Amino acid sequence: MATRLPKTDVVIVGGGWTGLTAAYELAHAGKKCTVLERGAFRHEVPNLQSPEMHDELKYALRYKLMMDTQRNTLTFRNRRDETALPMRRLGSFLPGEGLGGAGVHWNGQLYRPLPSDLRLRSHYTEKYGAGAVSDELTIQDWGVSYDELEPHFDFFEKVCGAAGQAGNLRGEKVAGGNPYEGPRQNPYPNPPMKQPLATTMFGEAARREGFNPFPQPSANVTQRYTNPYGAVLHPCTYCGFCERFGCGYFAKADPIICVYDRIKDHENFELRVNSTVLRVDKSPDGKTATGVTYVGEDGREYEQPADMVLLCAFGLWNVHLMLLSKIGEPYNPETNTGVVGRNYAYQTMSTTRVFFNGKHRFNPFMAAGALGTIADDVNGDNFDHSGLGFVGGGYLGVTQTNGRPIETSPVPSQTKTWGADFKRAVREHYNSTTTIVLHGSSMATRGNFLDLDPTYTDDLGRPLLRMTFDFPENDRRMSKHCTEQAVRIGRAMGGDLVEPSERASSSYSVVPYQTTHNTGGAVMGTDPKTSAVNRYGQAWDQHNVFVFGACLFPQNIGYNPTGTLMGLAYWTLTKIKSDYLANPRPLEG
Amino acid sequence: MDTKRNALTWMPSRRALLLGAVAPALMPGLGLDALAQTPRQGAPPRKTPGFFLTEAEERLLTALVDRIIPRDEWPSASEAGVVDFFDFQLTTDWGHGQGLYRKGPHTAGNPRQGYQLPYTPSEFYRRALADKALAGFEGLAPAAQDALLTRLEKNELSLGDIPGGTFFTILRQNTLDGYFSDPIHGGNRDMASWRMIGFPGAHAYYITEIDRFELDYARPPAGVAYRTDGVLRGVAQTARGR
Ligand SMILES: Cc1cc2nc3c(=O)[nH]c(=O)nc-3n(C[C@H](O)[C@H](O)[C@H](O)COP(=O)(O)OP(=O)(O)OC[C@H]3O[C@@H](n4cnc5c(N)ncnc54)[C@H](O)[C@@H]3O)c2cc1C
Repeated sequence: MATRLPKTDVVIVGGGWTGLTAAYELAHAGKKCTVLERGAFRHEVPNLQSPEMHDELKYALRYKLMMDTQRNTLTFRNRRDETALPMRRLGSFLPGEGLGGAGVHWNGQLYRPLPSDLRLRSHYTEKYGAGAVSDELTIQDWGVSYDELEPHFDFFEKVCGAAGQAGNLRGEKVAGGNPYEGPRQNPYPNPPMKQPLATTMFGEAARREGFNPFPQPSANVTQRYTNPYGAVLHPCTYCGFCERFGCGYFAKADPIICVYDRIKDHENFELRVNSTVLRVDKSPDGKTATGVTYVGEDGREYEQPADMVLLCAFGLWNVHLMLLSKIGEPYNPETNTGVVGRNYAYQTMSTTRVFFNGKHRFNPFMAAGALGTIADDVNGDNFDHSGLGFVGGGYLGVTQTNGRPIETSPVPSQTKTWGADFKRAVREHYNSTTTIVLHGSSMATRGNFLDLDPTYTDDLGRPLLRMTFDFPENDRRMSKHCTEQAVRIGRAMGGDLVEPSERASSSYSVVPYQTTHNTGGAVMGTDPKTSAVNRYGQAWDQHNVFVFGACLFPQNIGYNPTGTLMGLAYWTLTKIKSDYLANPRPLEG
Repeated sequence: MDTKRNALTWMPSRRALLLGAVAPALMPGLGLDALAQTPRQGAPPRKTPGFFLTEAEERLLTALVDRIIPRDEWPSASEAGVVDFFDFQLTTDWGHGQGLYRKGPHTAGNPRQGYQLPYTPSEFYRRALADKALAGFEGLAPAAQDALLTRLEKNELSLGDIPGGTFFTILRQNTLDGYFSDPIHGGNRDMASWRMIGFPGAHAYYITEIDRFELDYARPPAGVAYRTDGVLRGVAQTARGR
């Protein structure tokens, strides 16, 4: 019943950072690329312009730019012996929908992983002995090294016009940058952002306490800049409407202005919006994909044949499509076999509020998504883990991202959350409170995974994805240890009251926003028993299916994911262009 | 001129504006901006039927939201238009279930799994406000009102099949939504809440101010629909006594 369409070379599911970038690169390699995006068309002009864009209720509270859970969502439970229920409203994470994907409403905090992050299990066992990694954890190496990825991290930073201070240039330490970062071939293309009072105070206090603060690497650009694709970006205005909003100033790198605008007129590029891919179609022998079936703008089903299928639908939905299409064996936590859905991980966040009771004017509304001062001293294995009983860590920092009033009512925990006292406290603390964030890693376990829900379906009748997740004991310990360091810095800042709040001090809840850093489920690696795709993101069983995004992460790092997942995307695309296209086959080595 | 007080008394109710003057398109956002931002001095608040709330619901909701945000030197929730905000929001797509997965089965689950009731916001408020546990609430003394709200907050009381804690959490959040959001949505009348905390609003451009420490940034707030030729400018400029 599906209408069969003329064949294309490459069909790409999803029009976000990974999908549009793949289209750009492969269209220029001579391949006809068809991007299918389930959401609507949108563009900086006219859809993302201020002041209309600066409507907190509409965009930050009612999620106007994001996935509509009325049509599609997932179900959630903490443990396998519970019944998963649908996430009826967005909360803990905010998947994108529409041209540009979540890249339109991200913050632009742009990081690379640490070299040791990418060989996590080997690193800890080599350094701390075989017992260093507890039995609870199913963490593993990525199968790709920092040195292999470095040119690709570098290129994505250039695509974004990243603003930052190098800490390690070709092995030489550079003052003012992150001393723990892996060696970089080039400095950031643009100078760091200006720092306001609160982030400066954090940096000074952190330094006094022996930490090594540096300006947060940012895809909010700091001067007029032309990226390698020819896109022109403008300096950030520090407007404070970044995360959850689009940037009408052309100052936050996003996939529409940085990539789509530069490929949209290319003869090999085609975009179809309002087109939801239902599944990947396979050949009768199951050894290759033949294309995808999708529901088009007119509500009818189409079959789009293609030589290659790229899954660029965001980590969670890539896994969903793989499960629905039977690409790879589904993970079974009971028998600990199968790979698709395995090693789902997240991010372990804590916030430490530092109250100054009216003594400072931080002006929190002057802000930017990636504005901040960071200390990486308790991230990864940048500190001695002997005897600590956990692996991993996270960065600490004050990030001044916004002072939007519905979302910003910092009051001490002793204050009631409503009534006259609350109102007075909001008034007193709004402009003199800042927050130290812990952006912690998330380790994979046997019990945290994704599969298909047996009960609930989406608007097209497909089973919803089911998420089973709780914070592992390892990460609870990590959170406690690292949050204590945040409190130490908060006290050194001179706060009248320093109040930490750790997500991992209780079970994970899908309600309060934490991050949209959902990782794993289709992890990369070198062993088909523990990875869904090989180290190039290629499906083990269908060599013409490639998977992109944070679902490739074997466990999550202590950084925001996009720098890493885009490094991986360029790594995959480089391999496709230099090797696979001339000789399509399962890639080795 | 006592601008704060003035701002409160001369601002007609949103509903009066909407229904009294022009009939604007019933769409969220910009269709209503000009009206919301064009106060006509002296127009008395009018009792007219709203978009959604009945008069009884309006009275009850007024009492409820005014305990969440009571009046002090700054307006209470209802004085700032929060009830008008509710009235309008509950007729929008959001009020009718946009962004809400509605398929069954509906099971209570645990709090970490989030909202699981079958009701859209408009159905939710209609049911909750009609429950006998809230009957006569507006007639109670403030202390008794607070005691009842506290029982709801602690989930010691339910409104039919709506757990008290669920009702309280949603009521509190939507009250804050109305009080602090852009005035184009009907609450935050005269941008009172923004002046209260010192938030300058939607027009935001701070390249030269961002690294000026301890800056006393006194620019009056401006909403999405702010117009420099409007009456609001004169009010706002003196609003914080500068
Ligand atoms: C509020 C917020 C703040 C963030 N801040 C940061 C940050 O500061 N730093 C950072 O590193 N990361 C951040 N992120 C994460 C970042 O946005 C993502 O890592 C990144 O966008 C992932 O790119 P992607 O291409 O994998 O997926 P997406 O950008 O989500 O694009 C996937 C696209 O696929 C489409 N799609 C899905 N399913 C289908 C289907 N079946 N058929 C057709 N199309 C489909 C979706 O509609 C979507 O447009 C943030 C995210 C959010 C939501």
